[in-house]
Amino acid sequence: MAEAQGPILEVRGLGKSFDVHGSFGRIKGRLKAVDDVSFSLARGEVLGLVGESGCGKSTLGKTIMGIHEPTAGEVLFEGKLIAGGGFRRDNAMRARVQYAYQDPGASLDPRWKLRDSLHEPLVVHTDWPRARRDAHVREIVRLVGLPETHLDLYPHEISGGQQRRVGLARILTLRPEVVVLDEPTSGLDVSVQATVLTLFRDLQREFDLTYILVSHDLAVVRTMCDRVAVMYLGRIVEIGPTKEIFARPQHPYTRSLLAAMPRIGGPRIARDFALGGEPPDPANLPSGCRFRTRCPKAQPGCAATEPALLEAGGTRAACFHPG
Amino acid sequence: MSAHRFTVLRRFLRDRASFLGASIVLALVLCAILAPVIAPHPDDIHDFHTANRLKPPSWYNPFGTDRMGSDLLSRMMFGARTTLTICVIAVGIACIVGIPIGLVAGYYRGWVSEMLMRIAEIFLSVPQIVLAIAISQTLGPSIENVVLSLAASFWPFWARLAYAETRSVKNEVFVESAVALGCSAPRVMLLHILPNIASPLIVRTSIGMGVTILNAAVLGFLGLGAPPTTPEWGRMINEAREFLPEAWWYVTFPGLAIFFVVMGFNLLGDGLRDILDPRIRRGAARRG
Amino acid sequence: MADPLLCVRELSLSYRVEAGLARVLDGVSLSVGAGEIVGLVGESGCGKSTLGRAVLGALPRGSVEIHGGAVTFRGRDLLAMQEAEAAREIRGRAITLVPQDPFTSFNPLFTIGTQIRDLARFKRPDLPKARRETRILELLDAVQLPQPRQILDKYPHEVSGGQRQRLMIAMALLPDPAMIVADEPTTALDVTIQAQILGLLRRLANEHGCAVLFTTHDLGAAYEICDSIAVMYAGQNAEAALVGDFFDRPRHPYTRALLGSLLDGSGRLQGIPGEVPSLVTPPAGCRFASRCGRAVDACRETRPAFADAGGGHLLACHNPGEPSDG
Repeated sequence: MAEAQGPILEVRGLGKSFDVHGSFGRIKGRLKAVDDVSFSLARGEVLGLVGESGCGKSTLGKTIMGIHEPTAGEVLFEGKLIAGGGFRRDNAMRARVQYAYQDPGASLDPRWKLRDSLHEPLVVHTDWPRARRDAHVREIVRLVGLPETHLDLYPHEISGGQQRRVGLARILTLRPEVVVLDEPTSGLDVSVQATVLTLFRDLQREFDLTYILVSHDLAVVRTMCDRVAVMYLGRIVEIGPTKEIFARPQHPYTRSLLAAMPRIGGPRIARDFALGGEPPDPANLPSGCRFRTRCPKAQPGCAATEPALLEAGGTRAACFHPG
Repeated sequence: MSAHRFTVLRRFLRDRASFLGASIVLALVLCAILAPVIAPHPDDIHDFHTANRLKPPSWYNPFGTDRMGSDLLSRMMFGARTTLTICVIAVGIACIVGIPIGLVAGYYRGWVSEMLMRIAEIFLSVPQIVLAIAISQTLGPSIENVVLSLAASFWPFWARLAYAETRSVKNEVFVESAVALGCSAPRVMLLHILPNIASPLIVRTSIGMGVTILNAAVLGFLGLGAPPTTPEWGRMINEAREFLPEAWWYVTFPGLAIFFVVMGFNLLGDGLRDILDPRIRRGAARRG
Repeated sequence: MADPLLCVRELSLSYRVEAGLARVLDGVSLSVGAGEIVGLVGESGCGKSTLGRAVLGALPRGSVEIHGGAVTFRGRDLLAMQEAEAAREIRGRAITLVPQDPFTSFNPLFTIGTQIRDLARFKRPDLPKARRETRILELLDAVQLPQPRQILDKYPHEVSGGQRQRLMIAMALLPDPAMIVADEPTTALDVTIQAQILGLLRRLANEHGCAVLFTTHDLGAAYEICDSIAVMYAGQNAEAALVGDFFDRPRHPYTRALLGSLLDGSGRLQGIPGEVPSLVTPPAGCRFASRCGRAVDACRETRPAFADAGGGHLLACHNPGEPSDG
């Protein structure tokens, strides 16, 4: 389905650091939440950003979105710079790349009627008269599967699932082209999860969307994504087509992640799960490859320099000894 | 659904304290508005009947008479007007000045916010009543100056409250989402943050009214307020001092009025606090 | 077979909520044998946490109404027990808790060491101080905490989530309990840490001969460590069986639908249409009937009995699938 143009989104060397404050507000150090991340996104694809807590996937999503200003690197949309290098994103651009919060219902102002929340993007970005906005909103509401009568209610008067739909509808009123989905199924029951993911699939078809799906849940990523990028401590350690990543993971961390997934019907791995220890303090990273402190294949050379993302097997992995 | 809002009202009325508070405030407002109609001797505001001076409470003068022979109850009812006008305007000015300052200071970080808050804190470092007295004395006794000095001593509370509330609401997801959507800062502040910080502000208004009434009475008591013939509770208490302890009614009734009105506003504020916030935060939001 | 260590029989209880009475448990039965790891699986609102609390004797007494049933532990009726006796002998001693959120279980103002030693003094007054210290270090070692002595001097916010959970497990093992109630212990953890913790929990439970009641909504996690699995839906039993039998031959429509909605990597998406019924006005009979593809009239009238359908496989269904349907 991808057209023969270039990628819709390109991320180059993106970095985002935060100041770490000590007591009395002194700056103690810098935390590199996202470090030198590069990838490109084809129109219509679903790219998964997967990793555990502290890997920077959420921060990456928000930086691409424009919620955070990058401290290094740049983001290009259809070849044009939209973030980085001191560039301030304008409103037109904000409309084309949107962000769906983990709990889209929380993105609704609790004191506003749903109707007003849904009108707001249009009020901010267009000068349409009320009637035209109304028609547009009603159309979107129908497409996400919400009854029109809900429009006069407040967020706390509808269920969590419906709040989710309203939150999504709000984003979609602007007909964005890229949507960053942040942990869309986190905290959901299994039986609801499938319903929510189906909704996302339908919306993608209906609105011609390109997704960046940020999640710690490998099963969700496997089901929804065309390509997967595995992150560890702010860097992408492996990226490739979903099938390849799951069938022939090249990076030791990817291997451990997949091994940790419970597989019903398969061997019970918990007993002899091999990856011990915890991720190191992100403000105090080890030299060279940052995974080497827990890596079963670590060798002295791994401490010297950071590995780059190189072709290995069917994917690209940042490892000196992949495979 | 609107049914929800009626349950909120019913809950409020069921709580005896807030019901009492609301009743007292309502009584005050009605007195003030309807004073010319319901006061037993409305002309006593201007007239005086020296033959009648310092009479104890009776059927004719339910609260007794003052040193000019005027009916105390009537004067008190008109005094409610004075008091209410002074306090509503003073609190109003303090809000209009303080809340935007706090809102802006809380929304933006940086030296502007810091400076605004430091200015507020300078005002706050002086006890409110002392400040009001100082300003009043400098400007001279009159009702307008009372309003001004009360407002000047009160606005920093609003600024600081609005600042703190803004800082906390600013981190909520819906604010971040509004910014991500492309809303301008003024829009976010006025349409998103302000409505969401309104509840604590409203509660504080009610309690603040009580404090202001008390302060206005003190200023009146010190002679810094309305001119001598204007009925005003604080002033009445001051006048009454020299006639104690015989003319006990002269000081008691205005004093009780102040007491009840302040208590009424406080109870109302507490009741509002209970119904405003938890109602909104609680609600469906079940999974699925 | 020996009497089970814990036996819950037809327990029914409700919480008093603003809207009335929420009938959180409706005739629920469960049994845990000595040294057995039982997984209690269900989605939000199914009552698994409430059941765990009932076993611990930690139900909020003011707002709970017990309508019937019994909870027996080692032959003693826990529900009838006086609060003081339960606190002295059962809760925190014979039955301990590993909670879902380890962070809030620690007092942020005191070091971990202070809190553990306090706990040890309270739970094992029989041991002299030196022996207690040794025991604490033994346990910290057993849960594979690096540098146990240094950890004792740290504050709760200075250690990671995985480490805190290991500490909770160590503290749960301190009084040598007969049973641990693990309430969603890995839900808040990353998947690699979860794998470590599950492995640890299983190994330690086996070593100490301790039974575990493991509540979770994650069937995968239950598969990893449980000997048997019990599924609940909206406060009622659905199915219970040994783990192999459970996953190979599920028979209850809800269990099948649940297993069917798991993501298997093929891209197939299959949820369960409908919503969980309100617990304040629950439907009569089987509470899954409104969403069940196999519901018959009896389902909406009487709650099916939770009975043995062959080989120790317990089932509460009027119209279950055939074993061969898988």
